Amino acid sequence: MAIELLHVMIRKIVRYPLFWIVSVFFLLIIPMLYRFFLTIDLTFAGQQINLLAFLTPDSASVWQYILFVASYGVYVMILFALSFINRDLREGIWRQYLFAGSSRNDLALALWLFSLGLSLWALLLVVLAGSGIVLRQSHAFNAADFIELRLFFAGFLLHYFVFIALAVALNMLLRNTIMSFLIILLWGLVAESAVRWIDPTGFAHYLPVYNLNGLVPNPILALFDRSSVAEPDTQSVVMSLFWLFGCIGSTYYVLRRKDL
Amino acid sequence: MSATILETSSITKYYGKTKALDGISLQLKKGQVLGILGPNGSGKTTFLSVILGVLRPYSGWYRWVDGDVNSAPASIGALLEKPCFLPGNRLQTQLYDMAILHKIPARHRAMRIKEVLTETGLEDVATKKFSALSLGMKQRAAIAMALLSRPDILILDEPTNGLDPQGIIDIRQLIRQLAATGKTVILASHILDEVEKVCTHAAFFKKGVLAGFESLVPESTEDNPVYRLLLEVPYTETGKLLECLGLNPNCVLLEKMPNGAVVDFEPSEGGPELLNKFLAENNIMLSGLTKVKSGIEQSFMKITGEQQQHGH
Ligand SMILES: Nc1ncnc2c1ncn2[C@@H]1O[C@H](COP(=O)(O)OP(=O)(O)OP(=O)(O)O)[C@@H](O)[C@H]1O
Ligand SMILES: [Mg+2]
Repeated sequence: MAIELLHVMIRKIVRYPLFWIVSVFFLLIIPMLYRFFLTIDLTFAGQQINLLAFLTPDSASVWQYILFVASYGVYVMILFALSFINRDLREGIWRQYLFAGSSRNDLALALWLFSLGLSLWALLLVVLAGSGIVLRQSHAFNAADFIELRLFFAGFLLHYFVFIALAVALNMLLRNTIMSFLIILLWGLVAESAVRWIDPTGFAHYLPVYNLNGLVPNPILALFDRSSVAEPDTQSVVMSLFWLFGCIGSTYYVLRRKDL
Repeated sequence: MSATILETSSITKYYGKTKALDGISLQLKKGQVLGILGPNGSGKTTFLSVILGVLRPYSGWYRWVDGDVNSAPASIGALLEKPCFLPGNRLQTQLYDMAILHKIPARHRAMRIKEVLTETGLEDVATKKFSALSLGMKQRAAIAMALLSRPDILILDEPTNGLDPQGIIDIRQLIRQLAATGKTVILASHILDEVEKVCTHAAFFKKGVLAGFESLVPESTEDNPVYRLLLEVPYTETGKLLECLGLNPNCVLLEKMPNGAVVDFEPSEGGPELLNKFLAENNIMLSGLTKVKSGIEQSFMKITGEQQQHGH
């Protein structure tokens, strides 16, 4: 049953103009973010670092940097996911799903598949936009980069999946696109950093955004920190999976208990 | 005895602190058409939402035939309050989506959609966006959606809302047809006339309580007609009348009133005059004996209170 539900969801996503607007916006914003991040001067141990020079010769480094930058695009995808889900809820489409014989479990399953599908779509868009940047930057497209960076790509995918699942879980409680989005945005960009700043060693290390960001580390900073190629570290992966299951469980619980 | 399709027991539902349903227990058998009557805000929509699995009951349970406790039936045709469509999508496309969910085989989908659109008189607007339909067309679209899978159980919340006179006649005709083919229908309405015209049973809701449940068709056969009779006597005689009716094996008491009673009378031969004779033999003089089709309007007024208006 969840398969039919997914089929119908895909048909509806494709018909939803916002989906294409968001996708085009996403494609455009990646190069813009990429350029923007490069204008920020990095100082490390009293040295000015020229990021552009640092990246130029190596297409794998450029890819890493693109993924790092594009990880901030997750907010765009979250905005789309929430407005899609809430439109269906508002218009009573989920009720129709129930009448058509879907169970609430099916609805929960369809939501996770939707989050995963959207993450895959984001990955595809990043590969498209990234290819353009890589070609401009290093004048060579190297397919072997994808194999070399496979863990980095997997980290990126997990980052999106968990982040979207987190937003969906929050939204199932609030059922309000703007509220849920603002909370996620504030938490992700400001609030959690503040908590970490107040208490840098304690439980802050287990908060979701810190670990999600650990899945897509800044390759340049990581190089200086650890003098090795940046990869998602084990703690980030484990904690992200923990949060993922937490979100899935919470969505499932809410869907089973609440009125639709 | 036909099979029980739906059983509910003491269903209670709150919205915050508002008690919208208070211990609703009823049973529905296959082929029955149940009309749920009640003034605005009496809990009709809430009750239908609960038995459809959309709202969770606070306490109590319901069970559909072959189903688990408190779970919606596998596939059902339903229309709840407002039509559930995406405004920006074409009618036909949305019906197609649901046809997929209903597991209608791909090669039958277009045909089936055309059928329901014809049944509801919407062939000409099939490719229009839902937001571009008129109020009555939206209502028809919702009915088309409910009929799409040819469900055995149909739940309709005020289905004739916003329809033109022809539309109302068509929909009532459709409901009667469905009932005649053995489908089970539940219909919520505040239009007495509508329930009287299409339903076999009526449930009266008042402030979330099931205040009455009655059969609108005496279960009569060709050879043994059943007469529904209103018997009137002076106030002082009522007790005696009731006592006496209890002695007559062909008589079922439906309703007590201060000055009389409503009964179903099923004589082995003859007609209502036999009851009159029987009562006279027991020294009860009726001040009135009226054949009633059903006492639905009286029941409604009595149950829901005097100040209620009912329209259309
Ligand atoms: N979403 C809601 N939130 C809070 N209270 C509600 C909600 N929906 C209904 N109610 C309340 O529950 C009670 C029953 O409402 P319901 O919609 O079931 O009545 P109804 O019999 O369908 O009325 P109508 O004839 O107007 O359709 C009312 O008192 C109403 O105010
Ligand atoms: Mg209602």
